[in-house]
Amino acid sequence: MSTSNSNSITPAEVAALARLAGIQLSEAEQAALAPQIAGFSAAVGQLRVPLETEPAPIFVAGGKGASK
Amino acid sequence: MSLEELCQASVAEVAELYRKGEVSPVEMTRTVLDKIERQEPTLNAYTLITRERALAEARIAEVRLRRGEADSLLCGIPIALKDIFDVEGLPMTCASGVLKGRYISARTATVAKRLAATGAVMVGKNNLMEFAYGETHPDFGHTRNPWDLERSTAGSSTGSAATVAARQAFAAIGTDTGGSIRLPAAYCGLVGLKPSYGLVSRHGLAPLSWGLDNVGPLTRTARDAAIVLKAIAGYDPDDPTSLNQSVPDYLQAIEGSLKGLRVGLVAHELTPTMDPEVRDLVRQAVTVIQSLGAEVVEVSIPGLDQAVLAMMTILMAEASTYHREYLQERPEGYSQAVRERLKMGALVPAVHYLQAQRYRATFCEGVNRVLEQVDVLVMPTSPFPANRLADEDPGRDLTPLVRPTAPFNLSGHPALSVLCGFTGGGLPAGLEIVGRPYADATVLQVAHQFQQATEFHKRMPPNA
Repeated sequence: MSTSNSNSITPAEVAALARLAGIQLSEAEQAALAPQIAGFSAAVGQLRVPLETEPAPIFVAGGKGASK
Repeated sequence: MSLEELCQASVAEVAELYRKGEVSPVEMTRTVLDKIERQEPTLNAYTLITRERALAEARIAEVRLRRGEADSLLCGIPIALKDIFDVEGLPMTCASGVLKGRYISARTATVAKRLAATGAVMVGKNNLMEFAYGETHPDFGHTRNPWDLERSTAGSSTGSAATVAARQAFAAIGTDTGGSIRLPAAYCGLVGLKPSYGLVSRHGLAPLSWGLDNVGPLTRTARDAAIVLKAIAGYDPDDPTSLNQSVPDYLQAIEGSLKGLRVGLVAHELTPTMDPEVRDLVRQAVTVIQSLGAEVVEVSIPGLDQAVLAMMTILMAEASTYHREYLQERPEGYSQAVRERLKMGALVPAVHYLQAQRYRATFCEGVNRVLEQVDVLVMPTSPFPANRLADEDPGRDLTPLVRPTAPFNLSGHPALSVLCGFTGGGLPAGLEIVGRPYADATVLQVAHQFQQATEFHKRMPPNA
């Protein structure tokens, strides 16, 4: 995905993302979501973890039939 | 004591009167239903009141009690269920236009089955924020707080909290993805327990976020929460996240003394920007706990700010995945605010979702390290008392509200809110108690011992 700079996302890019996700967005929604997504992406980019960290399991309790 | 006055009693107290044959479950249920129907135009706590079904269940409970066949204190006790659980043959709306008038459940949620097996009487299904996603659908409207009708109950278990606070149902079952049991409990002056992830089955729950959703009780006392938890906890093969281990005797565990218990006050959450009255009430509550023999130390939880962001990332992606088909086929059924949230969540990249899950792993380790030093953590459930409904803007940023609660959905630890006092304006404040993984009994024990030493839970809201 190209952006005009690392901290901004254009409405056209939002529209492209939405098409990939199967979501219909009006032009007004594209314009409204662009800064929100840019801000959100910048914030998530600040989530720092050690390189060797693996994702937590989606289900943290240990899975079907797991015992403690 | 009249039946109307008995609505103020606890589950344990009513169960004892049932056992002695001094009160009829049928008459108690009828009284509760009358009270609900009388107050419903004001509180808006229900999407469905199941009068005939409830009275039929109460008659069965009465026979069980008479024959000495009741094996739970919940037998004959009127309870309510958030309208996000399936109950076979009943409509489920999730307080959304997407399902309203279109969905009748073909199965029953495990939690509802387990409660029914005890003989508990379901009086209805509670209003909530739309699909538990932080906004009220205009077709369903706000539930009003019995302590002040102009104020919010918080959410998303809005009706569940209001009905218990208003002395209608004796307990209600809610769900908690980022604080949706604990925050309404704090705003409405109740005990609200988010159990350890995996302890209570989610089967039959319309999910908001598979990895963050929890099912738990809202009650007026910690003892009642222990009674309900005992009934609903335990392995369920229908829930792939269910933990296969025995359920402890919570009722026995909560009677233990706090002497020697190590309590970690999360001091950095007592911020200068929080409501000063709530801050004072939390400090006073900690002093009470200390006076009961607990050793209190100040601790900090690393990465709390970013835990909320990670939780929101997971929540957004999972909610939008679940709602993908509804969003494509019935977008007009959602409120505008939830529809926008779901659209935004559909655009969360996979790398963000996985980075949030990586953060989750490190955050869990960090919380566990703190909990190696202390038995429980305590902090405010909410930095503020209930806000005015008029001040709630649809689509508002929920991050500040869920900051004290959402991190423990991310980590999976048991967390409970207990009423710890009232502001000068008569609004409740909540103390959050967080325990080690699967040490739900310990958080209930701290809350119970606190209630044994205080009287806050005995105060009635003006609109009960």
